Amino acid sequence: MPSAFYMILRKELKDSLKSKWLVTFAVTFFFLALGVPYIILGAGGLLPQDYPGMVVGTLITLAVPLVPLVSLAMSSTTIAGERETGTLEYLLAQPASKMEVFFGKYVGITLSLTLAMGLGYGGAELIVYATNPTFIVSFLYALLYSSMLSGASVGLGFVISVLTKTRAAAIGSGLFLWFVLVIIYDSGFLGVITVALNADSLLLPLTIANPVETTRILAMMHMADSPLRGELGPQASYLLQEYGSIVASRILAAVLIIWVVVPITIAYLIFRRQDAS
Amino acid sequence: MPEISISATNVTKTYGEFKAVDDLSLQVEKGGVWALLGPNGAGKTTFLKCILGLREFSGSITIEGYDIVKDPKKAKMQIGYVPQHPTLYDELTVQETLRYFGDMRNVKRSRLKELLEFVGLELWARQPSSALSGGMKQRLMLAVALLSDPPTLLLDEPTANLDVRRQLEFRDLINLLVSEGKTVVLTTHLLGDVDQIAQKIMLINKGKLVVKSSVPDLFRDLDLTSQMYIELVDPTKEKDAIIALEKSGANDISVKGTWLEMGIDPSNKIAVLDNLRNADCAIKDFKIEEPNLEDAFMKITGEGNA
Repeated sequence: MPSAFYMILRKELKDSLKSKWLVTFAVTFFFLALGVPYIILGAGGLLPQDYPGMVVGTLITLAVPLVPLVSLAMSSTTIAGERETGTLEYLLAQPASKMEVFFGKYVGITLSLTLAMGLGYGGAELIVYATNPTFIVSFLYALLYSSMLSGASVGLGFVISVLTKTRAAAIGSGLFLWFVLVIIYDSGFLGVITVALNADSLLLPLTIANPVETTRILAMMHMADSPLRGELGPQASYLLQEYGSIVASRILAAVLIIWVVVPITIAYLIFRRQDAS
Repeated sequence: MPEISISATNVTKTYGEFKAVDDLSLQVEKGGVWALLGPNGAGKTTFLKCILGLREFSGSITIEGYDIVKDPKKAKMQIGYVPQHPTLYDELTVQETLRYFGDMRNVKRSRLKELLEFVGLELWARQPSSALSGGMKQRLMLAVALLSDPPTLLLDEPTANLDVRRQLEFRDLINLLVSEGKTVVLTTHLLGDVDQIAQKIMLINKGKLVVKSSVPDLFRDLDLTSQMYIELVDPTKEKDAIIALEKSGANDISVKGTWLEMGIDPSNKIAVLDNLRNADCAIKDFKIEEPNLEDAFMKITGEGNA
Protein backbone atom coordinates (compact mmCIF):
# COMPACT_ATOMS: atom_id res chain seq x y z
CA MET A 1 0.00 0.00 0.00
CA PRO A 2 1.38 3.46 -0.80
CA SER A 3 2.34 5.36 2.31
CA ALA A 4 0.08 8.22 3.38
CA PHE A 5 3.33 10.09 4.11
CA TYR A 6 3.99 10.64 0.40
CA MET A 7 0.38 11.66 -0.31
CA ILE A 8 0.49 14.27 2.44
CA LEU A 9 3.98 15.47 1.44
CA ARG A 10 2.85 15.79 -2.19
CA LYS A 11 -0.25 17.75 -1.18
CA GLU A 12 1.83 20.16 0.93
CA LEU A 13 4.13 20.80 -2.04
CA LYS A 14 1.21 21.22 -4.45
CA ASP A 15 -0.55 23.60 -2.05
CA SER A 16 2.62 25.69 -1.81
CA LEU A 17 2.92 25.90 -5.60
CA LYS A 18 -0.78 26.70 -6.01
CA SER A 19 -0.68 29.47 -3.41
CA LYS A 20 2.05 31.33 -5.39
CA TRP A 21 3.91 32.20 -2.21
CA LEU A 22 6.74 29.86 -3.21
CA VAL A 23 7.41 31.87 -6.38
CA THR A 24 7.22 35.16 -4.45
CA PHE A 25 9.62 33.81 -1.86
CA ALA A 26 12.02 32.51 -4.55
CA VAL A 27 12.03 35.86 -6.37
CA THR A 28 12.66 37.65 -3.07
CA PHE A 29 15.63 35.38 -2.43
CA PHE A 30 16.94 35.88 -5.93
CA PHE A 31 17.11 39.65 -5.47
CA LEU A 32 18.33 39.23 -1.92
CA ALA A 33 21.16 36.99 -3.14
CA LEU A 34 22.15 39.19 -6.03
CA GLY A 35 21.28 42.60 -4.76
CA VAL A 36 19.33 45.15 -6.76
CA PRO A 37 22.51 47.19 -7.47
CA TYR A 38 23.74 44.26 -9.60
CA ILE A 39 20.99 44.89 -12.15
CA ILE A 40 21.46 48.67 -12.13
CA LEU A 41 25.25 48.48 -12.33
CA GLY A 42 25.11 45.64 -14.87
CA ALA A 43 22.72 47.58 -17.10
CA GLY A 44 25.07 50.57 -17.01
CA GLY A 45 28.15 48.41 -17.70
CA LEU A 46 29.63 49.52 -14.39
CA LEU A 47 29.65 46.15 -12.63
CA PRO A 48 32.88 45.58 -10.68
CA GLN A 49 34.57 42.18 -11.17
CA ASP A 50 34.31 41.30 -7.47
CA TYR A 51 30.70 42.43 -7.05
CA PRO A 52 29.39 38.96 -6.03
CA GLY A 53 31.99 38.78 -3.31
CA MET A 54 30.94 42.20 -2.09
CA VAL A 55 27.25 41.31 -1.72
CA VAL A 56 27.71 37.82 -0.35
CA GLY A 57 28.65 39.27 3.04
CA THR A 58 25.42 41.17 3.30
CA LEU A 59 23.32 38.30 1.96
CA ILE A 60 23.03 36.29 5.16
CA THR A 61 22.35 39.41 7.22
CA LEU A 62 19.37 40.11 5.00
CA ALA A 63 18.21 36.48 4.77
CA VAL A 64 18.44 35.65 8.46
CA PRO A 65 15.37 37.65 9.57
CA LEU A 66 13.32 36.65 6.52
CA VAL A 67 13.82 32.87 6.71
CA PRO A 68 12.34 32.35 10.21
CA LEU A 69 9.53 34.80 9.45
CA VAL A 70 8.27 32.83 6.45
CA SER A 71 9.06 29.45 8.04
CA LEU A 72 7.23 30.21 11.28
CA ALA A 73 4.24 31.69 9.46
CA MET A 74 3.98 28.58 7.25
CA SER A 75 4.51 25.94 9.90
CA SER A 76 2.72 27.35 12.95
CA THR A 77 -0.65 27.28 11.18
CA THR A 78 -0.39 23.86 9.58
CA ILE A 79 -1.60 21.54 12.37
CA ALA A 80 -3.61 24.20 14.25
CA GLY A 81 -5.39 25.31 11.08
CA GLU A 82 -6.38 21.77 10.16
CA ARG A 83 -7.43 21.07 13.73
CA GLU A 84 -9.65 24.15 13.68
CA THR A 85 -11.38 23.21 10.42
CA GLY A 86 -11.72 19.54 11.38
CA THR A 87 -9.68 18.26 8.43
CA LEU A 88 -6.98 16.93 10.77
CA GLU A 89 -9.47 14.63 12.45
CA TYR A 90 -10.83 13.58 9.05
CA LEU A 91 -7.31 12.88 7.81
CA LEU A 92 -6.47 10.80 10.88
CA ALA A 93 -9.68 8.81 10.41
CA GLN A 94 -8.17 7.58 7.12
CA PRO A 95 -5.53 4.83 6.99
CA ALA A 96 -2.79 7.33 7.91
CA SER A 97 -0.74 7.15 11.10
CA LYS A 98 0.01 10.21 13.22
CA MET A 99 3.67 9.87 12.26
CA GLU A 100 2.85 9.92 8.54
CA VAL A 101 0.55 12.93 8.87
CA PHE A 102 3.02 14.86 11.02
CA PHE A 103 6.19 14.18 9.07
CA GLY A 104 4.42 14.35 5.71
CA LYS A 105 3.54 17.93 6.59
CA TYR A 106 6.95 18.72 8.09
CA VAL A 107 8.94 17.42 5.15
CA GLY A 108 6.49 18.98 2.68
CA ILE A 109 6.79 22.45 4.20
CA THR A 110 10.56 22.23 4.69
CA LEU A 111 11.02 21.04 1.10
CA SER A 112 8.83 23.88 -0.21
CA LEU A 113 10.89 26.44 1.67
CA THR A 114 14.18 24.88 0.62
CA LEU A 115 12.96 24.76 -2.98
CA ALA A 116 12.08 28.46 -2.83
CA MET A 117 15.47 29.34 -1.40
CA GLY A 118 17.21 26.99 -3.83
CA LEU A 119 15.50 28.59 -6.82
CA GLY A 120 16.28 32.08 -5.54
CA TYR A 121 19.87 31.42 -4.55
CA GLY A 122 20.35 29.01 -7.47
CA GLY A 123 19.31 31.58 -10.06
CA ALA A 124 21.61 34.12 -8.47
CA GLU A 125 24.42 31.57 -8.28
CA LEU A 126 24.29 30.94 -12.03
CA ILE A 127 24.82 34.65 -12.66
CA VAL A 128 27.52 34.85 -9.99
CA TYR A 129 29.29 31.84 -11.48
CA ALA A 130 29.24 33.43 -14.92
CA THR A 131 30.68 36.67 -13.51
CA ASN A 132 33.19 35.36 -11.00
CA PRO A 133 33.31 31.69 -9.91
CA THR A 134 35.40 32.45 -6.82
CA PHE A 135 32.44 33.19 -4.56
CA ILE A 136 30.21 30.25 -5.53
CA VAL A 137 31.16 28.35 -2.35
CA SER A 138 30.07 31.25 -0.16
CA PHE A 139 26.69 31.25 -1.90
CA LEU A 140 26.35 27.50 -1.34
CA TYR A 141 27.06 27.97 2.35
CA ALA A 142 24.44 30.70 2.47
CA LEU A 143 21.90 28.28 0.97
CA LEU A 144 22.88 25.48 3.34
CA TYR A 145 22.64 27.62 6.47
CA SER A 146 19.42 29.26 5.35
CA SER A 147 17.91 25.79 4.79
CA MET A 148 19.03 24.65 8.23
CA LEU A 149 17.62 27.77 9.84
CA SER A 150 14.41 27.14 7.94
CA GLY A 151 14.33 23.55 9.26
CA ALA A 152 14.84 24.77 12.83
CA SER A 153 12.17 27.47 12.44
CA VAL A 154 9.70 25.01 10.93
CA GLY A 155 10.33 22.74 13.95
CA LEU A 156 9.60 25.61 16.35
CA GLY A 157 6.52 26.46 14.29
CA PHE A 158 5.30 22.87 14.67
CA VAL A 159 5.70 23.08 18.47
CA ILE A 160 3.43 26.14 18.38
CA SER A 161 1.05 24.43 15.99
CA VAL A 162 0.51 21.35 18.15
CA LEU A 163 0.01 23.49 21.27
CA THR A 164 -2.55 25.90 19.81
CA LYS A 165 -6.12 25.20 18.78
CA THR A 166 -6.83 27.95 16.26
CA ARG A 167 -5.06 29.36 13.20
CA ALA A 168 -5.22 32.88 14.65
CA ALA A 169 -3.59 31.85 17.94
CA ALA A 170 -0.93 29.91 16.03
CA ILE A 171 0.05 32.72 13.67
CA GLY A 172 0.04 35.21 16.56
CA SER A 173 2.34 32.99 18.61
CA GLY A 174 4.55 32.37 15.57
CA LEU A 175 4.99 36.07 14.89
CA PHE A 176 5.63 36.75 18.57
CA LEU A 177 8.35 34.08 18.60
CA TRP A 178 9.91 35.61 15.47
CA PHE A 179 9.85 39.03 17.15
CA VAL A 180 11.62 37.59 20.23
CA LEU A 181 14.21 35.58 18.26
CA VAL A 182 15.06 38.23 15.69
CA ILE A 183 14.32 41.65 17.16
CA ILE A 184 14.27 41.47 20.96
CA TYR A 185 17.07 38.94 21.31
CA ASP A 186 19.59 40.72 19.14
CA SER A 187 19.01 44.39 19.86
CA GLY A 188 17.63 44.07 23.39
CA PHE A 189 18.73 41.02 25.25
CA LEU A 190 22.22 40.44 23.84
CA GLY A 191 22.95 44.16 23.89
CA VAL A 192 22.18 44.43 27.60
CA ILE A 193 24.26 41.37 28.48
CA THR A 194 27.32 42.31 26.47
CA VAL A 195 27.39 46.03 27.12
CA ALA A 196 25.92 46.47 30.60
CA LEU A 197 27.25 43.31 32.23
CA ASN A 198 30.36 42.93 30.12
CA ALA A 199 29.92 39.17 30.53
CA ASP A 200 31.79 37.70 27.54
CA SER A 201 31.62 34.18 28.98
CA LEU A 202 27.86 34.23 28.40
CA LEU A 203 28.21 35.02 24.70
CA LEU A 204 28.52 31.41 23.54
CA PRO A 205 25.55 30.06 25.54
CA LEU A 206 23.45 33.07 24.56
CA THR A 207 24.33 32.63 20.90
CA ILE A 208 23.55 28.93 20.76
CA ALA A 209 20.31 29.46 22.71
CA ASN A 210 18.87 31.13 19.61
CA PRO A 211 18.93 29.41 16.19
CA VAL A 212 18.81 32.76 14.39
CA GLU A 213 21.93 34.00 16.20
CA THR A 214 23.63 30.63 15.72
CA THR A 215 23.01 30.79 11.95
CA ARG A 216 24.04 34.42 11.65
CA ILE A 217 27.35 33.93 13.45
CA LEU A 218 28.02 30.63 11.68
CA ALA A 219 27.46 32.26 8.29
CA MET A 220 29.71 35.17 9.21
CA MET A 221 32.53 32.73 9.93
CA HIS A 222 32.41 31.72 6.25
CA MET A 223 32.17 35.27 4.98
CA ALA A 224 35.40 36.42 6.59
CA ASP A 225 36.88 37.37 3.22
CA SER A 226 34.02 39.55 2.04
CA PRO A 227 34.87 43.27 1.86
CA LEU A 228 31.28 44.08 2.83
CA ARG A 229 31.19 41.73 5.81
CA GLY A 230 31.54 44.66 8.14
CA GLU A 231 32.33 44.40 11.83
CA LEU A 232 32.24 40.89 13.23
CA GLY A 233 30.43 42.03 16.36
CA PRO A 234 31.12 40.88 19.91
CA GLN A 235 29.79 37.32 19.52
CA ALA A 236 31.75 36.36 16.41
CA SER A 237 34.89 38.13 17.60
CA TYR A 238 34.73 36.35 20.95
CA LEU A 239 34.18 32.93 19.34
CA LEU A 240 37.00 33.44 16.85
CA GLN A 241 39.32 34.54 19.60
CA GLU A 242 38.39 31.73 22.02
CA TYR A 243 38.02 28.76 19.66
CA GLY A 244 39.40 29.76 16.31
CA SER A 245 37.45 29.75 13.07
CA ILE A 246 37.28 25.96 12.45
CA VAL A 247 36.31 24.84 15.97
CA ALA A 248 33.82 27.68 16.40
CA SER A 249 32.20 26.81 13.05
CA ARG A 250 31.93 23.16 14.03
CA ILE A 251 30.39 23.98 17.40
CA LEU A 252 27.84 26.28 15.79
CA ALA A 253 27.06 23.83 12.96
CA ALA A 254 26.47 21.05 15.51
CA VAL A 255 24.23 23.33 17.54
CA LEU A 256 22.26 24.26 14.43
CA ILE A 257 21.71 20.57 13.66
CA ILE A 258 20.42 20.15 17.22
CA TRP A 259 18.09 23.10 16.62
CA VAL A 260 16.75 21.31 13.54
CA VAL A 261 16.23 17.97 15.30
CA VAL A 262 15.08 18.81 18.85
CA PRO A 263 12.04 21.10 18.28
CA ILE A 264 10.48 18.83 15.67
CA THR A 265 11.04 15.81 17.93
CA ILE A 266 9.38 17.60 20.85
CA ALA A 267 6.49 18.68 18.61
CA TYR A 268 5.97 15.10 17.41
CA LEU A 269 6.05 13.66 20.94
CA ILE A 270 3.36 16.14 21.99
CA PHE A 271 1.30 15.49 18.85
CA ARG A 272 1.52 11.71 19.29
CA ARG A 273 -0.08 11.88 22.73
CA GLN A 274 -2.79 14.34 21.75
CA ASP A 275 -6.35 13.57 20.72
CA ALA A 276 -7.01 14.45 17.10
CA SER A 277 -9.13 17.49 17.96
CA MET B 1 -22.68 -17.39 16.19
CA PRO B 2 -23.04 -14.03 14.38
CA GLU B 3 -19.99 -12.45 12.77
CA ILE B 4 -18.73 -9.34 14.55
CA SER B 5 -18.04 -6.03 12.84
CA ILE B 6 -17.00 -3.90 15.83
CA SER B 7 -16.03 -5.19 19.25
CA ALA B 8 -15.34 -2.88 22.19
CA THR B 9 -14.07 -4.24 25.49
CA ASN B 10 -13.91 -2.18 28.69
CA VAL B 11 -13.41 1.09 26.82
CA THR B 12 -12.83 4.07 29.11
CA LYS B 13 -12.08 7.63 28.01
CA THR B 14 -11.54 10.31 30.64
CA TYR B 15 -11.12 14.07 30.43
CA GLY B 16 -9.53 14.96 33.76
CA GLU B 17 -11.90 13.52 36.36
CA PHE B 18 -14.81 13.22 33.93
CA LYS B 19 -15.45 9.81 32.41
CA ALA B 20 -16.89 10.43 28.95
CA VAL B 21 -16.91 6.68 28.23
CA ASP B 22 -17.04 4.42 31.27
CA ASP B 23 -15.93 0.81 30.98
CA LEU B 24 -18.09 0.32 27.89
CA SER B 25 -18.24 -3.08 26.23
CA LEU B 26 -20.37 -3.94 23.22
CA GLN B 27 -20.37 -5.87 20.00
CA VAL B 28 -21.86 -4.80 16.68
CA GLU B 29 -22.85 -7.79 14.61
CA LYS B 30 -22.39 -7.60 10.85
CA GLY B 31 -25.14 -6.22 8.66
CA GLY B 32 -27.94 -3.67 9.02
CA VAL B 33 -28.09 -0.19 10.46
CA TRP B 34 -27.19 0.34 14.10
CA ALA B 35 -28.12 3.60 15.80
CA LEU B 36 -25.94 4.84 18.64
CA LEU B 37 -28.22 6.97 20.78
CA GLY B 38 -27.87 8.98 23.95
CA PRO B 39 -28.50 12.40 25.48
CA ASN B 40 -26.09 15.26 24.88
CA GLY B 41 -22.82 14.50 26.64
CA ALA B 42 -23.66 10.80 26.98
CA GLY B 43 -20.40 9.86 25.28
CA LYS B 44 -21.69 8.58 21.93
CA THR B 45 -19.52 10.83 19.73
CA THR B 46 -16.51 10.25 21.98
CA PHE B 47 -17.06 6.51 21.67
CA LEU B 48 -17.39 6.81 17.89
CA LYS B 49 -14.06 8.65 17.80
CA CYS B 50 -12.46 5.99 19.98
CA ILE B 51 -13.59 3.40 17.39
CA LEU B 52 -11.79 5.48 14.73
CA GLY B 53 -8.64 5.80 16.85
CA LEU B 54 -9.10 9.57 17.11
CA ARG B 55 -9.12 9.50 20.91
CA GLU B 56 -6.66 7.95 23.33
CA PHE B 57 -8.53 5.44 25.52
CA SER B 58 -8.04 2.44 27.75
CA GLY B 59 -9.55 -0.93 26.84
CA SER B 60 -9.61 -2.39 23.37
CA ILE B 61 -11.56 -1.94 20.15
CA THR B 62 -11.37 -4.19 17.12
CA ILE B 63 -12.85 -3.60 13.67
CA GLU B 64 -13.32 -6.73 11.61
CA GLY B 65 -10.81 -8.34 13.95
CA TYR B 66 -8.13 -5.63 13.62
CA ASP B 67 -7.17 -3.73 16.77
CA ILE B 68 -7.50 0.03 16.24
CA VAL B 69 -4.50 0.76 18.52
CA LYS B 70 -2.17 -2.10 17.59
CA ASP B 71 -3.04 -2.31 13.88
CA PRO B 72 -4.61 1.08 13.07
CA LYS B 73 -4.05 1.08 9.30
CA LYS B 74 -5.66 -2.30 8.70
CA ALA B 75 -8.48 -1.45 11.11
CA LYS B 76 -9.15 1.89 9.37
CA MET B 77 -9.17 0.17 5.96
CA GLN B 78 -12.21 -1.77 7.21
CA ILE B 79 -14.15 1.36 8.05
CA GLY B 80 -15.47 4.44 6.27
CA TYR B 81 -16.28 7.57 8.25
CA VAL B 82 -18.66 10.44 7.53
CA PRO B 83 -18.37 13.24 10.12
CA GLN B 84 -21.28 15.41 11.17
CA HIS B 85 -19.89 18.62 9.67
CA PRO B 86 -18.29 18.81 6.22
CA THR B 87 -14.53 18.76 6.76
CA LEU B 88 -13.16 18.80 3.24
CA TYR B 89 -10.20 20.68 1.79
CA ASP B 90 -11.83 23.69 0.15
CA GLU B 91 -9.00 24.10 -2.36
CA LEU B 92 -9.35 20.57 -3.75
CA THR B 93 -11.92 19.76 -6.44
CA VAL B 94 -14.34 16.87 -5.98
CA GLN B 95 -12.12 14.69 -8.20
CA GLU B 96 -8.91 15.72 -6.41
CA THR B 97 -10.51 15.00 -3.03
CA LEU B 98 -11.39 11.47 -4.09
CA ARG B 99 -7.94 11.01 -5.66
CA TYR B 100 -6.13 12.26 -2.53
CA PHE B 101 -7.97 9.99 -0.11
CA GLY B 102 -8.15 7.22 -2.73
CA ASP B 103 -4.36 7.13 -3.08
CA MET B 104 -4.10 6.63 0.68
CA ARG B 105 -6.31 3.57 0.29
CA ASN B 106 -4.62 2.36 -2.91
CA VAL B 107 -7.84 2.70 -4.88
CA LYS B 108 -7.92 2.38 -8.69
CA ARG B 109 -8.97 5.44 -10.73
CA SER B 110 -11.96 3.55 -12.18
CA ARG B 111 -13.36 3.22 -8.66
CA LEU B 112 -13.41 7.02 -8.30
CA LYS B 113 -15.63 7.33 -11.37
CA GLU B 114 -17.97 4.66 -10.04
CA LEU B 115 -18.32 6.46 -6.73
CA LEU B 116 -18.91 9.85 -8.36
CA GLU B 117 -21.80 8.29 -10.23
CA PHE B 118 -23.07 6.48 -7.14
CA VAL B 119 -23.34 9.72 -5.12
CA GLY B 120 -24.54 11.73 -8.14
CA LEU B 121 -21.61 14.16 -8.30
CA GLU B 122 -20.16 13.31 -11.72
CA LEU B 123 -21.15 16.72 -13.12
CA TRP B 124 -19.39 18.43 -10.20
CA ALA B 125 -16.11 16.52 -10.53
CA ARG B 126 -14.05 19.57 -11.50
CA GLN B 127 -15.66 21.97 -9.05
CA PRO B 128 -13.88 22.87 -5.79
CA SER B 129 -15.54 21.25 -2.81
CA SER B 130 -16.17 24.73 -1.38
CA ALA B 131 -18.69 25.25 -4.22
CA LEU B 132 -20.84 22.29 -3.13
CA SER B 133 -24.03 22.53 -1.09
CA GLY B 134 -24.24 20.89 2.35
CA GLY B 135 -25.99 17.85 0.93
CA MET B 136 -23.43 17.46 -1.85
CA LYS B 137 -20.55 17.70 0.62
CA GLN B 138 -22.23 15.00 2.70
CA ARG B 139 -22.45 12.79 -0.41
CA LEU B 140 -18.82 13.50 -1.31
CA MET B 141 -17.77 12.42 2.18
CA LEU B 142 -19.87 9.28 1.77
CA ALA B 143 -17.97 8.64 -1.47
CA VAL B 144 -14.66 9.08 0.39
CA ALA B 145 -15.90 6.68 3.08
CA LEU B 146 -16.68 4.09 0.40
CA LEU B 147 -13.37 4.38 -1.47
CA SER B 148 -11.87 1.09 -0.35
CA ASP B 149 -15.31 -0.56 -0.24
CA PRO B 150 -15.07 -1.06 3.54
CA PRO B 151 -17.51 -3.47 5.16
CA THR B 152 -18.43 -1.01 7.93
CA LEU B 153 -19.49 2.64 7.83
CA LEU B 154 -19.54 5.08 10.77
CA LEU B 155 -21.82 8.07 10.27
CA ASP B 156 -21.92 10.86 12.84
CA GLU B 157 -25.33 12.59 12.77
CA PRO B 158 -25.56 12.01 9.01
CA THR B 159 -28.86 13.82 8.42
CA ALA B 160 -28.60 16.57 11.02
CA ASN B 161 -27.62 19.30 8.55
CA LEU B 162 -29.76 18.19 5.61
CA ASP B 163 -33.18 19.39 4.48
CA VAL B 164 -36.02 16.86 4.29
CA ARG B 165 -35.47 15.97 0.61
CA ARG B 166 -31.73 15.42 1.14
CA GLN B 167 -32.45 13.37 4.28
CA LEU B 168 -34.67 11.05 2.24
CA GLU B 169 -32.04 10.77 -0.51
CA PHE B 170 -29.32 10.03 2.03
CA ARG B 171 -31.53 7.44 3.69
CA ASP B 172 -32.06 5.73 0.32
CA LEU B 173 -28.28 5.61 -0.22
CA ILE B 174 -27.82 4.02 3.21
CA ASN B 175 -30.53 1.45 2.54
CA LEU B 176 -28.85 0.60 -0.75
CA LEU B 177 -25.51 0.08 0.99
CA VAL B 178 -27.10 -2.11 3.66
CA SER B 179 -28.74 -4.19 0.96
CA GLU B 180 -25.22 -4.80 -0.38
CA GLY B 181 -24.25 -6.27 2.99
CA LYS B 182 -22.58 -3.30 4.69
CA THR B 183 -22.81 -2.60 8.40
CA VAL B 184 -23.77 1.00 9.16
CA VAL B 185 -23.33 2.52 12.62
CA LEU B 186 -24.75 6.01 13.02
CA THR B 187 -25.23 8.46 15.84
CA THR B 188 -28.28 10.65 15.84
CA HIS B 189 -30.23 12.83 18.18
CA LEU B 190 -33.31 12.75 15.92
CA LEU B 191 -35.16 9.91 17.66
CA GLY B 192 -38.17 10.22 15.37
CA ASP B 193 -36.04 9.06 12.43
CA VAL B 194 -34.28 6.17 14.11
CA ASP B 195 -36.89 3.46 13.77
CA GLN B 196 -37.22 4.35 10.08
CA ILE B 197 -33.47 4.00 9.49
CA ALA B 198 -32.09 1.58 12.08
CA GLN B 199 -32.85 -2.03 12.77
CA LYS B 200 -30.90 -2.05 16.04
CA ILE B 201 -30.20 0.60 18.66
CA MET B 202 -27.48 1.02 21.25
CA LEU B 203 -28.36 3.52 23.96
CA ILE B 204 -25.49 5.13 25.84
CA ASN B 205 -25.99 7.19 28.97
CA LYS B 206 -23.27 8.68 31.18
CA GLY B 207 -20.64 6.80 29.19
CA LYS B 208 -22.21 3.39 29.76
CA LEU B 209 -24.17 1.11 27.47
CA VAL B 210 -27.73 1.05 28.78
CA VAL B 211 -29.58 -0.87 26.08
CA LYS B 212 -28.67 -2.81 22.96
CA SER B 213 -31.73 -4.12 21.21
CA SER B 214 -33.99 -4.05 18.16
CA VAL B 215 -36.65 -1.32 18.30
CA PRO B 216 -39.67 -3.71 18.69
CA ASP B 217 -37.83 -5.74 21.34
CA LEU B 218 -37.01 -2.55 23.21
CA PHE B 219 -40.67 -1.47 23.30
CA ARG B 220 -41.69 -4.91 24.48
CA ASP B 221 -38.98 -5.09 27.12
CA LEU B 222 -39.93 -1.66 28.43
CA ASP B 223 -43.60 -2.59 28.35
CA LEU B 224 -44.39 0.38 26.13
CA THR B 225 -47.94 0.14 24.77
CA SER B 226 -49.75 1.73 21.84
CA GLN B 227 -52.56 4.07 22.86
CA MET B 228 -55.82 3.26 21.04
CA TYR B 229 -58.89 5.52 20.88
CA ILE B 230 -62.24 4.12 19.72
CA GLU B 231 -65.57 5.86 19.09
CA LEU B 232 -68.63 3.55 18.88
CA VAL B 233 -71.51 3.98 16.47
CA ASP B 234 -73.89 3.20 19.37
CA PRO B 235 -72.63 4.73 22.66
CA THR B 236 -75.06 2.54 24.68
CA LYS B 237 -72.87 -0.48 23.81
CA GLU B 238 -70.00 1.01 25.83
CA LYS B 239 -70.20 -1.66 28.59
CA ASP B 240 -70.10 -4.57 26.08
CA ALA B 241 -67.21 -2.89 24.32
CA ILE B 242 -65.17 -2.56 27.54
CA ILE B 243 -65.70 -6.28 28.32
CA ALA B 244 -64.55 -7.19 24.78
CA LEU B 245 -61.56 -4.90 25.05
CA GLU B 246 -60.49 -6.41 28.40
CA LYS B 247 -60.70 -9.86 26.83
CA SER B 248 -58.39 -8.58 24.02
CA GLY B 249 -55.73 -7.63 26.54
CA ALA B 250 -56.38 -3.86 26.52
CA ASN B 251 -55.53 -2.14 29.78
CA ASP B 252 -56.11 1.20 31.50
CA ILE B 253 -59.44 1.56 29.69
CA SER B 254 -61.13 4.90 30.31
CA VAL B 255 -64.01 6.87 28.82
CA LYS B 256 -63.33 10.39 27.57
CA GLY B 257 -66.49 11.95 26.12
CA THR B 258 -67.60 9.76 23.25
CA TRP B 259 -64.21 8.03 23.05
CA LEU B 260 -62.82 4.95 24.76
CA GLU B 261 -59.08 5.22 25.50
CA MET B 262 -56.85 2.24 26.28
CA GLY B 263 -53.32 0.89 26.16
CA ILE B 264 -52.70 -2.14 23.95
CA ASP B 265 -49.79 -4.30 22.89
CA PRO B 266 -48.52 -2.87 19.58
CA SER B 267 -48.82 -6.33 17.98
CA ASN B 268 -52.43 -6.77 19.18
CA LYS B 269 -54.25 -4.01 17.31
CA ILE B 270 -56.12 -6.19 14.83
CA ALA B 271 -57.24 -8.62 17.54
CA VAL B 272 -58.76 -5.73 19.50
CA LEU B 273 -60.76 -4.53 16.51
CA ASP B 274 -61.87 -8.11 15.67
CA ASN B 275 -63.09 -8.69 19.24
CA LEU B 276 -65.16 -5.49 19.16
CA ARG B 277 -66.79 -6.54 15.90
CA ASN B 278 -67.53 -10.02 17.28
CA ALA B 279 -69.18 -8.37 20.31
CA ASP B 280 -71.43 -6.49 17.88
CA CYS B 281 -69.90 -3.12 18.81
CA ALA B 282 -69.72 -1.23 15.52
CA ILE B 283 -66.84 1.25 15.30
CA LYS B 284 -67.50 4.80 14.10
CA ASP B 285 -63.85 5.96 14.22
CA PHE B 286 -60.53 5.00 15.78
CA LYS B 287 -57.01 6.43 16.28
CA ILE B 288 -53.74 4.78 17.29
CA GLU B 289 -50.68 6.44 18.83
CA GLU B 290 -47.68 4.16 18.46
CA PRO B 291 -44.97 4.14 21.15
CA ASN B 292 -41.83 5.96 20.06
CA LEU B 293 -38.21 6.09 21.00
CA GLU B 294 -38.72 9.32 22.92
CA ASP B 295 -41.00 7.38 25.29
CA ALA B 296 -38.44 4.58 25.56
CA PHE B 297 -35.63 7.05 26.07
CA MET B 298 -37.52 8.91 28.80
CA LYS B 299 -38.35 5.65 30.52
CA ILE B 300 -34.73 4.47 30.50
CA THR B 301 -32.88 7.64 31.33
CA GLY B 302 -35.51 9.84 32.87
CA GLU B 303 -34.01 12.64 30.78
CA GLY B 304 -35.32 14.84 28.02
CA ASN B 305 -33.45 15.21 24.77
CA ALA B 306 -31.32 12.68 22.99
